[in-house]
Amino acid sequence: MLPLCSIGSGYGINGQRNVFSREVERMRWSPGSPAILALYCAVAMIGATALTGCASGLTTVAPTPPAEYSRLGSTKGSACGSLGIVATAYYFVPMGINDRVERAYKEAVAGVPGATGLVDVTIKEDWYWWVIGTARCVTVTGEAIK
Amino acid sequence: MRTIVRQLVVIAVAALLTACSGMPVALGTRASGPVPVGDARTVKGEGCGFQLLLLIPISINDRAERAYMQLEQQAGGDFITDVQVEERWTYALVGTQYCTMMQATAIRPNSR
Repeated sequence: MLPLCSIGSGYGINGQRNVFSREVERMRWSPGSPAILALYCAVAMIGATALTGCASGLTTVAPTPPAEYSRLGSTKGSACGSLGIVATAYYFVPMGINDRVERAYKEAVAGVPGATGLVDVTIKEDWYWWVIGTARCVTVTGEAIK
Repeated sequence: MRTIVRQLVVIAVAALLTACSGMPVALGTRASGPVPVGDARTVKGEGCGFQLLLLIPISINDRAERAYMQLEQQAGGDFITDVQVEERWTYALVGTQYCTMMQATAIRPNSR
């Protein structure tokens, strides 16, 4: 039993690292090993997040009004999103941050029944730190039209 | 001494709270009538800022205003409509860079 335990622990009976454990250690960090593949996957995922997950795309917030329209009154919409998580060095996880402008605009339009768009639009962003992330809130105000 | 500390705390809290608020930006040319007819072209503007560490804003709060000012400069006094906004962020280990890009249609009325 002792030899098996000593193999598992990586140490021989006399307390020296045995050949088997050195081989396992070498294989663990060799190219193509599961550990290296997992590391590649993690780096690829972070890279993909950093490259593709960091833009909202163009969102229309002050559209061209139709030739004829009627004003329905003032409205406001806001939406928040955060970047986290844990500490600054790990603030690359987007949580609803990329579509916050679009959501704020939609909320403003939805705030007035029958509205199809906005005119006289003003946009504003506030942000706050909430310890494990930073939140950004966009507020869209304007006059609803149809 | 206690009063001074209290005043400093109040000033620090007020500074932190105001530092978290962006500038409101009015988008598009205000008009009560229809959109003028004329030559239309696309104009763009961009403003970026950096949020250092957890909560230090560097040119963060006015980036939308700067983007729109740039766009207005390109428009050169023409009618601005159909304003689109794009928000981008880039992870930079010690902080995050935020950029606001605006794109709109500038119309030079035929009568001008």
